[in-house]
Amino acid sequence: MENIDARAKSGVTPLAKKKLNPRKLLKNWQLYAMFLPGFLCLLIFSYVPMYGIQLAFKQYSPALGIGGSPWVGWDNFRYAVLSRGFGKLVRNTLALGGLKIVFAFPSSIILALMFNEVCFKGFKKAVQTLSYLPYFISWVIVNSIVQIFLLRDTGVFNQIITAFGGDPVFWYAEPKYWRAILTVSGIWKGMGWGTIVFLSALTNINPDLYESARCDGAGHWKCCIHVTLPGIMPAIAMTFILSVSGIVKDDFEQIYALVGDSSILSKTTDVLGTWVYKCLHGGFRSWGDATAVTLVQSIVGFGLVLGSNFLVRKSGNEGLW
Amino acid sequence: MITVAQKKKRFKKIAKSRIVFNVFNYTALVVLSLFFVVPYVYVLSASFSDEITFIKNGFSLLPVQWSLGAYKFLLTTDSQMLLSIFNSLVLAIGGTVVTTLVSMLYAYPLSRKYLRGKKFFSVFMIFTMLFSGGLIPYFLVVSSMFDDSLLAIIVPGAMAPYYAILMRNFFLSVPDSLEEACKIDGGNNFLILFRIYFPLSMPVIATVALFAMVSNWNNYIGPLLFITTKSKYPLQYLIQQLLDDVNGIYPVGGNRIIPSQTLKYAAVVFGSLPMIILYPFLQKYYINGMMLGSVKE
Repeated sequence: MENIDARAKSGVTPLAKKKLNPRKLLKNWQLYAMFLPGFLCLLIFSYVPMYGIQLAFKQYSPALGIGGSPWVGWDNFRYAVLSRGFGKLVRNTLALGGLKIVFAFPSSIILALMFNEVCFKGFKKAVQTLSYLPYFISWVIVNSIVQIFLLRDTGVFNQIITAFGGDPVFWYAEPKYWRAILTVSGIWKGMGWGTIVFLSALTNINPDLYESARCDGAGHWKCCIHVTLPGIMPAIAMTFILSVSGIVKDDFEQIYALVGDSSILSKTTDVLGTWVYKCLHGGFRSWGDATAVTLVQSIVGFGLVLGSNFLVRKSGNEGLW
Repeated sequence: MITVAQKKKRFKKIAKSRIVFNVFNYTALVVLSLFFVVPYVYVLSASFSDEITFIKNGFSLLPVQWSLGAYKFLLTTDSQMLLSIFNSLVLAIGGTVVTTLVSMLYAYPLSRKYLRGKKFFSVFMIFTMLFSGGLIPYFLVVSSMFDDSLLAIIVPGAMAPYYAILMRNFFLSVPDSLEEACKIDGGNNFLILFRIYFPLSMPVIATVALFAMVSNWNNYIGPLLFITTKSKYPLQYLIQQLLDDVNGIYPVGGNRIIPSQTLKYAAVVFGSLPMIILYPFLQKYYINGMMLGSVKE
């Protein structure tokens, strides 16, 4: 006993070294103080809501609060899945998410490759700047722009259709067009901005590689396939990992701005996010169900990120971690 | 062996396909530029149109008859528009300052290699980017703290993990010797951050400030969830209401006529033009800033 104490006092044992040195911590107290505002913000606005996830297994009652509400097991999940129209919600969410991955994700890569082929610097810069414009516009403004094209009497599309002698289309009464409309408006807003990551990857490709490829007789397309694409593969992989969870995480902001509460269009545009928002306004009785649905969405999204990261690493590329 | 003539022929063929490709590429890019810009030209045109001819002719690239009636109506009829512009400015400027400051304060210690426990703070932050509590619990927490106030949008957004990562990466690229030199001269950590790292990090600060300003100015989900009083509506939320129903905001009174269609687009111009004017000037900053974000540890 004495022996250990003496050793600890001398401060040379590995045990004592491993211990936190309070004086060193104290010396850096200002650095820890800097964490404080952000730490509190995350704690209150990110971690306390995570504590609220237990609502997924509870029947919420405002009088009892989150902690005091009675447990109901898996009832909320069962109720949500069995409720009318749930299949439609899942279908729409997956369809819109899938369209986003299939069309919106590659659109930025293609545009970046097109920029890369432009030799005329001024032209390139001008087009790039214009392509970023939609990113700085809110979804509400995009809604107003969509209306410019689609309104029944004054809209541009119907002007064109009637000019060619066709019958005007009632866009806001035809659910079948809306998956395309949402996808195109998503591409419009994000395509240009998405190129930035790929353009920075393109500038990092060693020009020697092109030269040696050309010496080996590679033409323009061969260079593109064997040098450029592998060069930006890490960036593509990273963006893919980040965007793949979008399949289950719906763009509530976009859909609610463009479609609102329209019940006519809900056949193709109602997604899990809009349903949750309706629950929020529909009274606290359905809050448990809504939390259950977002929990499943979060977990599946998280799983997709992990899974795609795994696949990307398996295929020989560098993942996010 | 390939003769010189054959070589020339081959070269010509390649050059020809190259020209075809270039023509295609430039044309496609011009078409895409129009795709990005023309919709906004329609917005501007509608906002400067005369209401009656507008309703007769529909949307057009240039106003059939120019008029400032919509703007005049918005700015002079009642104070709603001015109030909303003011609210949006408070939100954009206040939110930007708070977010940049809090995220920077979190980012700086994360960039100090010698700091113990920074791994914990790093994981604590990154986990919130991957997983969240969802809308209902978030709504319960925020609405219990801030009732019908712009603070409900500014305070929860004060700490932005993505911005903190961008700034941390930039701080890491600043030489450590600067910090050591300042410490020898007796400077404390706050002094080092604000007097040395802050001015040196202007590119990333500008990037983060621009991102924060855009997301605050364009935020309409926040007001949708937390703001109920009309006089507190930020611009985006007011515009959304106007697009749905102008008469809800400007009730028809007496024999006054509301330029309802062109008015919507004048409001849209107010809600979008500031950011559209701002972003080209900061382009070189945010492009560099985005590139920093892709640098890994």
